[in-house]
Amino acid sequence: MQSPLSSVHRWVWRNARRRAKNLLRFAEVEADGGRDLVRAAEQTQDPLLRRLFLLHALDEQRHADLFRKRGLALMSTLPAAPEAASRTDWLTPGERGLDDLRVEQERDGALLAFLHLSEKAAARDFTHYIAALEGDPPTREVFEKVVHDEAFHMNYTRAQLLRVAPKDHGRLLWMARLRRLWSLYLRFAGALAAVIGAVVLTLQYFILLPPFALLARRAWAREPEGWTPIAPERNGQGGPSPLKRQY
Amino acid sequence: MKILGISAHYHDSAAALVVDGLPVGAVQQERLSRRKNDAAFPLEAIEWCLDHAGLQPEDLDAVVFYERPMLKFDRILISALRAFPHGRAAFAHAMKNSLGEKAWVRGLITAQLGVPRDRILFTEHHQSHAAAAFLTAPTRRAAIMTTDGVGEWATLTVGRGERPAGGPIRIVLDREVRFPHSLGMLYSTFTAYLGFSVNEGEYKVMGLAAYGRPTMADQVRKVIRRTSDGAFALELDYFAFHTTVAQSYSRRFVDLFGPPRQAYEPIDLATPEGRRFADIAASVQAVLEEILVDMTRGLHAETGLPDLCLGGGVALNGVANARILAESGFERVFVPPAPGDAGSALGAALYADRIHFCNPDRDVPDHPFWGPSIDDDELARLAGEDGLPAATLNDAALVEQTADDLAAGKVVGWMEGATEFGPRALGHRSILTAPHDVALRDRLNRDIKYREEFRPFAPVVPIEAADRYFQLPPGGARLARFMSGVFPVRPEWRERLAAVTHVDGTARVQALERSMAPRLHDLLEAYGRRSGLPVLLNTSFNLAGEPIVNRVVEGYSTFRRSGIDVLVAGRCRIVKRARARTSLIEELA
Amino acid sequence: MIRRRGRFHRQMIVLSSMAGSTLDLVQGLWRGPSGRRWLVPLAVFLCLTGAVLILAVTVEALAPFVYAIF
Repeated sequence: MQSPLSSVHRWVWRNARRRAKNLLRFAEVEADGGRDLVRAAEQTQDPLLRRLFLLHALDEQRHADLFRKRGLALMSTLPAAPEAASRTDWLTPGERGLDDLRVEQERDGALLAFLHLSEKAAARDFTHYIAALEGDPPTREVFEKVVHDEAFHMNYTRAQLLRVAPKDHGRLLWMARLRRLWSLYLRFAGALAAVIGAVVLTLQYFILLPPFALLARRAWAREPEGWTPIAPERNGQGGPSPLKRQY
Repeated sequence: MKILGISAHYHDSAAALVVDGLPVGAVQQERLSRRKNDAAFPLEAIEWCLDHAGLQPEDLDAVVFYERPMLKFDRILISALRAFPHGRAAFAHAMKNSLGEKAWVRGLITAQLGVPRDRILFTEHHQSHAAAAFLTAPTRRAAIMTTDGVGEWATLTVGRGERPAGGPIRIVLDREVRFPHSLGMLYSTFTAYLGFSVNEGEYKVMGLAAYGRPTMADQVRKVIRRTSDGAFALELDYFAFHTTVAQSYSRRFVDLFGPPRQAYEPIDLATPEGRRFADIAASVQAVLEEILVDMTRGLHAETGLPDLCLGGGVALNGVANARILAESGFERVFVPPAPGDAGSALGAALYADRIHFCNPDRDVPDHPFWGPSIDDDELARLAGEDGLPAATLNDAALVEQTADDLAAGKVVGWMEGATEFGPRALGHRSILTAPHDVALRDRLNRDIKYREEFRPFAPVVPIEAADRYFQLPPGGARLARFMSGVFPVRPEWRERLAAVTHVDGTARVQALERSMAPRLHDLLEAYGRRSGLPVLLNTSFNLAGEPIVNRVVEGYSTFRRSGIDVLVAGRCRIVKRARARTSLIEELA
Repeated sequence: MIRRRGRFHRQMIVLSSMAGSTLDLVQGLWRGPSGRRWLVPLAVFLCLTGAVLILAVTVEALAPFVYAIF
């Protein structure tokens, strides 16, 4: 099926440098995801889930290696460039790219539902990327390998969800969907708040700080270089113990 | 008296509990949260310490934070003002960071633990380092030097400590070098320039340095110069860490040293570019050593004391520590197992106990094992659930069997007792293997640790045999107790210790005293009977990007995911059964 | 066992501690040897800004609206 964002995907993946950077970022996301799964395996009391999570974690690590190797191979073909390239991370979310997973706080069922949806979303995204990567067969091949594994991940998470929560799996999936939406909103709200906060603090910086900056610089110019003696009071000598103070 | 020490918010947060003058538990938050270098408020670590001692937060007489948050805020604000008008982004970032949480530590501790505000105390950052170094060392009087990136304002302090029998305990820091002039920041700047993560990749710079020659030491001396009073000052035009959060070094720095390495570029020492990076690492390492040796030499002349206690993150630089021991005039150099910020949690608690509350002196047990212990039955249960055969053996049989495994070229995951406090695995959470086989070392790098080829592995040897294989100067065995010094491997043994001998013929050796880890000591002897060398390669039990394992289940998951052949936890032993992914999927489906 | 408080409760405790901590800062600047009395007005103003930042952290979902206070 043609993605409504297919032209955006094509634009994102057309540029070789952007492609390499995205692959390297995917490598990090997959490695992080692998660590989350290791944690899940260490937390669960269910031996079968533990084995599956560990297997899944190994897959994620392998994906990370595949992405990293391909990203590096692409990078090595490009001339050195300044770091200030445009950021298009948000256009290529990757697996669990929009979620912060707190494995310790999850029960097995909720975690499986969450993983199932994440894998499904990643498989869909990666399929779109494959379509957009007609001109780069080696990168396309990397995604094809990863998507093949995602099918197993989708299937086992679904099957295990049915096993551990036979009566409750539908509700857990809906809860997971709502959580993904909520985390998407929180991310948006956080980003908006960060922008507003930065604007406010920047205004403070340019409006409030200049006279203080002048005084600070003048004081700095008078400060000697090298050793500064430490006053005896700071060592608790000749006065009350200073440990109550925060300054 | 029950005192809880906390370090948090910058890197490697930790908690430590001191009861009646002695530590009863200390652990880094990362070991429990499983997030490497976790800097969050260490609630799990605190909870473990309290549970371990059977205490509730209200039982605590004091909670001590390892630095003064308002003094730190003062430094951050002043730095932003000095950088005006170039520090807009840094100002916004710093204000959100500090004022959004980190500045309000007293409220945060009250909110998390319910401890009344008047029981919350604050030491200075470098006082915590000094206390962690001096009050845990087996010495009565010593000179003290603490060096790190930055605390509140201080980046380096010198002073002295005294623990006279029956008399008052004193830690007096006489003078300091202040931010932005910092040896720690200098080294971190080069760490960033060489494409490694700051606060994590400094080890890599030290490892890489051995491959290079200090051909650019003069350039490094341009960016850090000595002041007339024996201290030092950074030439700030070359740096950017004091004005921005995004970059450690300036354009001028790049003009001086050439293009920086991108983090994703592999270092190929066969290329001129790879050798340039190695030379730069060697140059900054040489200049750092030169300054530290000179300053400690001055401190020795000034104090006339035979002992020196080193604290702060820079004290993790084993090459520099060994040179200080050899050249400063101090007879003994003490570095605690956790000289960095994590160890400051213990330092802060001890400082409050001895200096603020004037409690009597106690000798702190001289070992690093202050963290959670393993559950001896857990490995057998996990293996049983996964259908892996597990053998539970008595200590002697386990040691002999493991020595056989090691002699057969197996890689062994080794877990026993309480976990180490500090960044190094010193025998309770270790991966062990034979020290002679370079192919085994390469396999360890490639299939288990997933790390750069240029990073060396460390050996562990019984203290009685250390001098036979390694050129330890007088006092060297003490520095090697917690792997804090790098010493030459004796030339005649280098071939048989090839996997632990760095390219420059040195090794960061651990000299193990029997009383510290008796079972590992037995294992070294048993291995020695088989191979003729009671030396093993000892590396931390973790994979790349993960903290050192704590519980058995974490050791087990690491064993399952890596090329480790044998796992020993407590008295239980399991062996890897190789399986193809497809057969596993079929079995699990 | 540590009694866990909710995020809102915790942040309110932090908010209530801010006055004391700000006072510590002001006293330090006023009495300290560094001669930075001139910094007191800016430090106090920024600490007040900190209250808004804490509020924004407290109600993460409403953070953009909290910033509207400015």
